[in-house]
Amino acid sequence: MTRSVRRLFMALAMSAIVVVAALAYALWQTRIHRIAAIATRNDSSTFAANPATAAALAAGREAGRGAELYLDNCAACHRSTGEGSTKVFPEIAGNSLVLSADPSALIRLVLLGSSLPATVASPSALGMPGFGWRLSNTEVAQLLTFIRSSWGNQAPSVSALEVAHTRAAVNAPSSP
Amino acid sequence: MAIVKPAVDAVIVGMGWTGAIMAKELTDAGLRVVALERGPDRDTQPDFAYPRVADELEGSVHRKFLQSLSRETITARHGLRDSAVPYRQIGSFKPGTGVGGAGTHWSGCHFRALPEDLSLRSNVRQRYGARFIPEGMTIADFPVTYHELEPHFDHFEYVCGTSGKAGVINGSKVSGGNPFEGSRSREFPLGPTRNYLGAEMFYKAAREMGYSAYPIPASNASAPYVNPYGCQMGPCNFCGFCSDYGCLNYSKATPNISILPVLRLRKEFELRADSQVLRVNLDGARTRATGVTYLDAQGREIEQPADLVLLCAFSLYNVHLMLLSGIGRPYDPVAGTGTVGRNYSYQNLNRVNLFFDDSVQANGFIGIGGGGAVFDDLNGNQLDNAAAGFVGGGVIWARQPGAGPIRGIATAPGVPNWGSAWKQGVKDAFRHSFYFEVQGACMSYRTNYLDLDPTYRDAFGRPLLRLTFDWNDNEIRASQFLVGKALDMCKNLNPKAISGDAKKAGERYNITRYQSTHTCGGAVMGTDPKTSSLNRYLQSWDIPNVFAPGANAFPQNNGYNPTGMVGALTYWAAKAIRERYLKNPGALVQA
Repeated sequence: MTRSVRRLFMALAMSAIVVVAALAYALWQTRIHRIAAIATRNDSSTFAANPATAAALAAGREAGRGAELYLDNCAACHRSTGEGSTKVFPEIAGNSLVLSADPSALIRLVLLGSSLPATVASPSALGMPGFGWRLSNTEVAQLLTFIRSSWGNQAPSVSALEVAHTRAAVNAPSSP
Repeated sequence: MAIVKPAVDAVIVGMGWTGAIMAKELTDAGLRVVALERGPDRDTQPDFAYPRVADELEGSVHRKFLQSLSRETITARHGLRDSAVPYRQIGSFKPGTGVGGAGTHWSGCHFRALPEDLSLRSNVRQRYGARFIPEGMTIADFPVTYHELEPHFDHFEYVCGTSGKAGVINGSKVSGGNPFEGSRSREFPLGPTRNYLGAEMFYKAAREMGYSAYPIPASNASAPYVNPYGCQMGPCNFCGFCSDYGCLNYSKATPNISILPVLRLRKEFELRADSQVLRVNLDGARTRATGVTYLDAQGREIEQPADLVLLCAFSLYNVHLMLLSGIGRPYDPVAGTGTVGRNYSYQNLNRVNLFFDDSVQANGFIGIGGGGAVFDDLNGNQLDNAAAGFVGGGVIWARQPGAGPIRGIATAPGVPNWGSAWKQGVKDAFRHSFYFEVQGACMSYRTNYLDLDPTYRDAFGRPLLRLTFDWNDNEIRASQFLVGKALDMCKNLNPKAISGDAKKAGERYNITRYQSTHTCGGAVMGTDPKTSSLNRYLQSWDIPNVFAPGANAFPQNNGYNPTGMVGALTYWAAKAIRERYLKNPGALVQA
């Protein structure tokens, strides 16, 4: 190949990559919008702040495996108030990701964790660890059902089957 | 043949607090910097991820985050005529390893030095006459004043998001802080951390004795905080996994969360973990360093040429590298010549345990490394040393850094060490006891020093560093005096039982029992090249393109934890490098 042909070939390859990326982005946007649309349509997901959960957790009165799992895995950062901490630990109370009618993004987050990108202005790549290695499908379902119905969150329960599907789809560590 | 890497402007040996500060300051100045860290790279995720990191067996018994003594360690002996033997298990002190160094597994107590402690020798002579300093005690003034260091103390506290209460701001006393401290230019970046019950009781007992207790300056964030570099901290949740552990919560200031996020984005900065530096290389005339030689993760010998060499290892290993590389003349305690290894000092730590009945709920599982309450009424110029009968002071504090079954639970006097009576004793003690501590200064002496061991070698074939150290009468008297004061104070709290561990006359140093990681000196800063290895900018007197920031530079240790001082000294040295050395590389102080 001459140099000019090679250059043309490279240019074509680059444009192809750009086109594919744009298509993927469009598809992703569509999916996000679809999820958002479902969330808006589903009027069963609402939030009205309620101090009862925090009071019960602080007093050791909150019963149930979901609450126990929350205290053992989540409360160190998100606290028993579910309020987290400004700019560091996201609030669970009233959080749109937690309230979403489709829980798959929330399940994915708990299984795999996530982190912020580091930028020059905000260099801290703050992260949440994944819990897929230590929580079973049933436990994740119990935990998420608890947080989706506490502190004033009102969203539908999560089933172990939904967790199993997401676990397979996102290649999370297998259930312990 | 060693692989030779392209030359860089500066090579940094060790990526703890001093290395991270130097890397930040020198890349700010536009230098290309390579940092070599003997241990692995570490960050909050995944290395300190919750809940995995909160594992007492892994952290406090298997010592996951500490230096592995199987590759590199020291030997120790009490006196010049003894044979030293290797330190094979972590005991008296805990050097770190990996990115963040001991700055990942520290507790967070973040003090400044007292102004008078920086001119200790002059101050003692002026107050009590030269003869008050015993024969063989080799204390010296720091060649830098509190006033010169104040902007750097301040900056380091703001980088760390230190939680506390000022006692003196711009010369005016402020209530609630330490009335005896050096004047600050402004308040702490964050307010004090919340008290646990033992700290509240400490305030009460101190008040009754007329002591001015104040919150321990803690680099454990009391609230969300963004430091001047844009790095984000979260509030401490009092989980009790600070000392021995990396912080799971972005709450404890560490090189990893406070500085490295910025460095990791910089193209001028390259971090090479698992890189064991073997020596600093000198030119033929032995007047200049040409770089360093290290082993990479694959065990290949690599030479990294650099114009500037920053020794930023743990204090002991800075001294080791200087001795191995021929930087400065080794100290000889008999002839009284040489400087490298001279003036090793430590920390005089003692504990008082208080046991209560079940009306006092101590909740020992709540813990914060740097928080608590402390007073300075027996430290610095507040103490009448002539009446007390020793040189140096100390602080008394209440801290509850986290306890648990594997880390050990102190039982009341008379409880056996096994069986059902021990179980009952542990049950009684864990929820209903506190401890207060006396942290005393430690002077330097002619015969407490560091050199190369004649017998033992490390995994890389180099002679081990040899520590010769024992307690002197001065520190034993200080221990007895300060523990006595702590016991007097504790009686006001009416505990069911109390125990103190003041040092006994003639007591020898026991390296197998954990006391403190505050190992100091060995390559000290000073005004005279005959008695110091470094000048006032932490620059080697002998090889001017080598700087060695760290607690190795302390001519003796005061009653405080060293990290605040180490950070301030490092920023002070970095400023001199940036503003003076880079313009005209050479000795910053004429010998």
